[in-house]
Formats: sequence, C-alpha cells, structure tokens
Amino acid sequence: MTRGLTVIVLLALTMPIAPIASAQDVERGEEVYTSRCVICHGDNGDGMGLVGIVHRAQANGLVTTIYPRDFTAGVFKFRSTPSGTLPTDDDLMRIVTEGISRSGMPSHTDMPEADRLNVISFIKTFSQRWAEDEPGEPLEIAAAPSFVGSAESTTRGEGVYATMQCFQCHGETGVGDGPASETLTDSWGDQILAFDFTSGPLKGGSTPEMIYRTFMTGLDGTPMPSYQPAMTEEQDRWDLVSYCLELMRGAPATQQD
Amino acid sequence: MSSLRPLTISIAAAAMSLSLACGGATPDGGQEAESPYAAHEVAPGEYDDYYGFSSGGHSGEVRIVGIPSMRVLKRIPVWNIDPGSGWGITNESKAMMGGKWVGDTHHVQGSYVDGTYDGKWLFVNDKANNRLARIRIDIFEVDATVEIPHTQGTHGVFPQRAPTTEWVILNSEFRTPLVNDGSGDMLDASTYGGVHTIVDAERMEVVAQVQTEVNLDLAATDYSGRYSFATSYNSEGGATISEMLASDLDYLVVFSWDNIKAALANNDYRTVDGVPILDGTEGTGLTAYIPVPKNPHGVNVSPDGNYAVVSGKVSPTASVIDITMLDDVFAGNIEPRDAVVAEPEIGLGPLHTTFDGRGNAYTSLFIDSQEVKWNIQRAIDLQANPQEGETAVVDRLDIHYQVGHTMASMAETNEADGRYLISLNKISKDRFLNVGPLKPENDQLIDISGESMVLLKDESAYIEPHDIILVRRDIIEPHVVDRVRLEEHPEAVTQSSITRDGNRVTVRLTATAPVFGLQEVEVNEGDEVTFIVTNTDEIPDLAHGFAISNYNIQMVVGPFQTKSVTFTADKPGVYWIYCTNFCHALHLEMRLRFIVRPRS
Repeated sequence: MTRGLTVIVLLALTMPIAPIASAQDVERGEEVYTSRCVICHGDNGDGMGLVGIVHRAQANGLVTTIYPRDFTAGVFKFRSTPSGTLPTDDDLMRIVTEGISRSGMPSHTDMPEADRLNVISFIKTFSQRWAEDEPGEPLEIAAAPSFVGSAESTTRGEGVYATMQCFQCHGETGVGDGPASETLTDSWGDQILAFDFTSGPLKGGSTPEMIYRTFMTGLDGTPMPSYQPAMTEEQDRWDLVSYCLELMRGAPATQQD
Repeated sequence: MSSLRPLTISIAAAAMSLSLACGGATPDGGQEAESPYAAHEVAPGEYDDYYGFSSGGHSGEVRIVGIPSMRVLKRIPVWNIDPGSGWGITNESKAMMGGKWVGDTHHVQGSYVDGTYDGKWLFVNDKANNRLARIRIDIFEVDATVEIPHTQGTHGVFPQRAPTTEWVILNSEFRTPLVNDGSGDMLDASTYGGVHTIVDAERMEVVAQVQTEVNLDLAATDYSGRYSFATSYNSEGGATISEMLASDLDYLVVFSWDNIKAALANNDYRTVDGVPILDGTEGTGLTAYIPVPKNPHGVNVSPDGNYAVVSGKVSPTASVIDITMLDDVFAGNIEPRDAVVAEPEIGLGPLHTTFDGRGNAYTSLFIDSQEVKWNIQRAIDLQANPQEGETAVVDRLDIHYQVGHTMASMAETNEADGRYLISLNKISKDRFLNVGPLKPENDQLIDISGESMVLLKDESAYIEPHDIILVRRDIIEPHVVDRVRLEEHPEAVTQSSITRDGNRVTVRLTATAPVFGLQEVEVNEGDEVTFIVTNTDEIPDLAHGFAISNYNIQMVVGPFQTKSVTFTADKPGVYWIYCTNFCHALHLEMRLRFIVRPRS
C-alpha cells in the first residue's frame, strides 16, 4: 500500500545548507532510528512501519486512521518557522525530546542528547528537500499580553472565530463538527478530523504562545493554514487565543458516538 | 403499647424450613414448556431496560447489573483492593481509602431530585470501617469518601429525596460509647448509644450527628425532605443476643429535619471532635419513637410518600406508619403508636418491603423463603374493620432460598413502575453446579407486572449483594461518558519526562497504543519513585494497563485518565514495565525497561 503525496508546498530555494552532519553522526543516527523509530516510521521513513496505523481517532461519527509522519515528503506540522518552510533543528529536537501530546510519538528524554541529534541528521536523509532547502526563519512570538483569557478578550475572540470562519472545520461550538469537517483530507489524501477544542490539550502545545504559533505557522500537510496573512492585527490573534482557551476550558467529559 | 398482639415466633424452629420447589429441568429430554423468561430475554447486542446497582457486602464492592438479563456489567471497587483497575494501589485511590483495605457495603442509593433519581451519584456505606463513599455515575468510579466518627455498624444509608439530595443520612447499628477512647467503664453498655449521622452530599463532610440511646439500623427518608427513619431492634440497650431480644417492642425512630435544622441554627448542640452532636434522645423533640413489634428490620417508604413500612423480622408482620400523621406525633397531638395504621400478618421473617406503584407492597420473608405481595390500603382497611378470614395478602411466591433484600424496579422513587422484582437470596443450596463449601448466592428475577408473581430467572452472585436498586436506563445512560476530561487530573501527562528532586524521582508517562512515552527509566536503588501515567489514546474502550515486574504494582488507566503510584525502588536490576490490558496488535511489545542501579 502506498500513499501518494498529493500536495507539497515546496519553496524551491537553492540556498546553501547549514551545518552538515558528519557521516559518523548519520550512521549513529541510523542505529538509533533502527532501535527506536523504525517500528512506526518504517525502513524507508515513509511512515509505513510495522505499526502501520498509529491509531484511529473517532469523533462526530467519523472514524479516521492516523499514520506516523512520512519523512520522505519533508513536510512537518509542528514548527516555529513560516508555513511551507522546513523546521529548524531546534524544532525537530523539541519533538524528538518531548514527543507530541496525544499522539503515538513518545518522548525520548531517556536517550542521550547526542543520539537525539544524530537521529535528526539521519531523518533528514529521507527527503531530498533537506539538501535543496534550508529551514525557515523562526517567527518571533512575544509573551502573551495580560488581557489574554479575560472575558472581554474571549468575547472579542468569539467574533474573530466567526470572521476567520474557523467554524467551517472546527464547528460553532469548537467540537470539530463544522460543515467542512467531514471532507477534510491531509496532503497524503487520508481523511483527518478537525480538532475538537473541548477535548483538551492541542498537539502543537496548549500555552497561549503555542496556540498563537499554530495560527501563524499553520500545520503543514493538513488543511489548517497559516492565518499570518489573513489575521493581521495582533489584538485579533491574541483574542482568538483567548477564545480557544475558553473552548478548551469548557470541555465536559465526553460520550462518543 | 400494651394493646399490641403478641406476635413473636420461634425463629429457631422455623429457620431452616426451606421450601424445596423443584426447577423445570427435564433430564429425560421430555418436552418442556417455554420458559417464562423467553419474553424478557435480552438478545445478543441488545441492552437491558434497567441499571441495577447492587452492593457487594464484604467483597467491599458495588456492582452494576443489567436487568432483566442479570448480567454483571461492572464491578466498582470501593473498600477493597482491585488490581483490575488499580484501586487500592494508585495514589489517588489510597488517598480515599485512609489505609483501610476492607469494607462491607450494604446499601447502594442514588442521588435524587424531586423524588426520583437524577443520575449524578451513587452512595454506599461501609459497615465494617464506618465510612461513606460516593460514586460518580458519569464514570462509575468512587470520587469521594468520608469517615463517620462516633459510630460502629454504619448500616442504613439513605439520601434526601426532595427537593434534591443535599444530605445523606447514616445509622449506627451497633451502640458504642460516643467517645470511644477507652475511657470510662467500657463494659457498662448502658452508657452506649447510637447516632444518626448527617453528611453533606456535595462536600462529603459530616454536618452533624443526632445522638440517641438506642441502636439505629436500617434507614429511609421521606419524599418531602422533612423526615428520616431508623429501625431500632435493640431498644433494650443489650450487649448480648438475649438482652437484645428481651423486650416485646422496639422502635421505628423518626427524625424531624425541621427540628434538627432549628437546633443547628440555635447552636443547640455540643461539639465533639469537631462534629456537632445533637441530643436526640426520647423527649427532646428531635425524634419520635414509634413502638413496633420486637426486633424490626427494614424500613421502606411507599412511592406515594404516604407510608413507611417496617418489616417485622421476629414478628410475622409489617407495620404501616402513616407519614402524614408524623406532624401530629411531633406536636404531641397523638401518641406515636397512633401513627401505625396497619400491621398485617404476612409470613415468617419479614425483612424488607418494596412497592409496585399500584398500591401493593412486596415483602421478603427470610424464614418462609417467599416473596409475599400484599395491598397496603387493604391492610389499613382491615386494621380499621377486621373481617374474619380476610387478608391483605394477594399472592405468595416461593424463592430459592432465604431471601434478604428485595427490590422492585424504580421502587425507591415516585416513579415506581411495577415491572420487575429482584429477590436477593442468601442461600443457593442446590440451584447451581456444586462449587464447594462456599457457594454462590442466588439472585432471582421475578415478573410482577401481573396479578401473580412469576419467577423468571436465577443468577448466581458472588458474596454478598445485600441490596439493589433498579434504575430506568433513560435516567442513567445520558450521564455516562466514554472518557473523562484529560485535564481532570491536575497531573495529566501529555509529554513524558523524568525529573529528580533529591532521591525523589517523578516519571510522567503517556500511554498511546502500542507505546509508552518512554522506553527506559533509570533510577537508583532507594529512590522514591512516582509514576504518573496518562492514557492519551483518543478512542473509547481502549484502556492501558501498567504493571512493574516484581514490584507488586498494577493499575489500569482508561481513556484520558491519569493514575499515579509511588513506591521505593528497593530491588536493583532490570524490570520490565508492561501493558497488562490488551490494547493493540502490538500490545505485547508495549513495554519499557525500569532500570534500578544498585547502591554503590
């Protein structure tokens, strides 16, 4: 079974590549990969390891299968860099070290730092993009203003949620049941679910700054775009953060259908 | 009082006069009529009409039983250690158990609004270690417990039925010294007493205790939020069985909530160990002592709220107390005994009474091994105008054998529907394959929708369901969830980590099939290690187990749940931590190494 990468946003910049790992580093990285990663991400780095389907998510009557990351595409969801760009080594290091909440990606704090760096070097060998492109410039995100989370900001954020049409996917009440939610697919053509804010923590992080970052970077490879161009006012962005936090706070225990 | 008929009977002579009705087995292969259960059978994939919430006696648990299938759907650990869930092993459950690992559950009751269940909580007592536990219906797990001071034999428990359950009351069956610290003449039973404990249902804290001189056994509340009841079989204040059976009369003790609230508001109490103690002895105005025949057992209130029925136990009668007359009893306008408006003879060893909402009562007869159906109004009429040869009894059904509690569907609410009756029989004797000296009990399902009772089904039961309530599915089902909120536990883990503070190591671990969030955890011998494990799988009905080999630790974490366990890493070596609860095709590979480096 193969999954064709249907959409790759590739900015074919031909810039020189920053620090190149040594052959020994890559070799050690492969050993680590074979020990820790191959079961999900596969021999070819295409996410088709023995585990195959990492898990099935079920919500709003939809059942979707979620595959491990396909490294051959060179497309990454959780970055500090602008939409469409490669992540920084720090971004990859954070994911490898901490894992991704609510996903099959575990933490690797139990591994020496050198091994984590080496495995990142090896992962980069799966996509030619790493040879042709360089990471984007990380977006600078200030600390959340004090008004974030206030009643006024939350109310304004509800308006931004409507204006930006977040409800199209995430639904009027944030449970991920918007009109477009049943037809969402990722860049590999697999059906995916719009996030249900009421279910709690976000994969990309749940602090105000992390939620803000997700608005700015988008989640590459998914229908979640960057709102950096559309949402130009700082005030709007933080107000929307307030509203997302409110949706997450109101989460009841759930009965799934 | 002296006008009472002498009604005591010889228990010893009758105790084992089992009625040995035969089952419908036809070992010769002969043609058998279709079982009456066939029309009630719950086919594969279909659901029951009622949730049955049953106590588990000295197994310490509560059970959920589907009615009419009688399938045991869940065992909820309460006062026991249960590796199947980790109860009694996790830090969270230990904090609620107070270091006491045994208990004796007798009565499971639901929380109420306006006289019927609201689907929010269950409450269950611990007669052995004198506690009350609250179970959240949305997840069917214990979420709070409270120790009941100044009491032993915490037996009867009943929530306020109207307007909502703000109070839960508990009785102390065993008279003890109120301050039980070894002071005074401990052998002088005349100094002992019983207390009626009021617990705040929301805060799960003791509000006050009403002290009496008698023992207080089974409990009920009225349907207006104004009275609670306790049967007292040891009004003698005896310390031996002979002493407890000396008097021909004992009591139904009625507690006036109006007067209790007034006493609390007026600070008319003393405080012992931080608990307000109100004087509820006879004549204080907080209580009324209604004489009933010797050594009564259960007290149950009819669904219309009008009558409290006391089952006679030693007396072959049931006493019907008119609740609408209690205001006059407390006002001194009538004698307490005047509120007993009927006392029909119904059979030997009446223990508990339940109702069908059509004016009939069903009383369990322990000695006769029968359920007896009788009409309440008929009993009242015959009491007023006795007619030779006439009886309030409508029907009798042999059960198998020695029934204790009995309960009809929705019978403890104002929505009693008279469909099913459960007979919780203490002795199964010859009804099942022989499994040795300790045999299961026999819980029997009876159809009471018609004029005559019809036995439908036997179901074996592990020790020892004392009581059950049958709650309509539509009341409970909307409240039950497939997963909790992830952040409900303040330490919920979304990213795994290991942190050290001196010799204290905290491991935060996600569990997402088929991997734990770490592959290796290294600690030093002697470290105090806390594992906090969160199941981050998104789908319902996918639980992860967490066992540490040779470390005597096992727990199960449901979807989005977090549980923690703390222990000392006292054995150096390599120990596999593994998922015990089947979760994935690669479940067996879902494990990690726990490495304990030896003290150098």
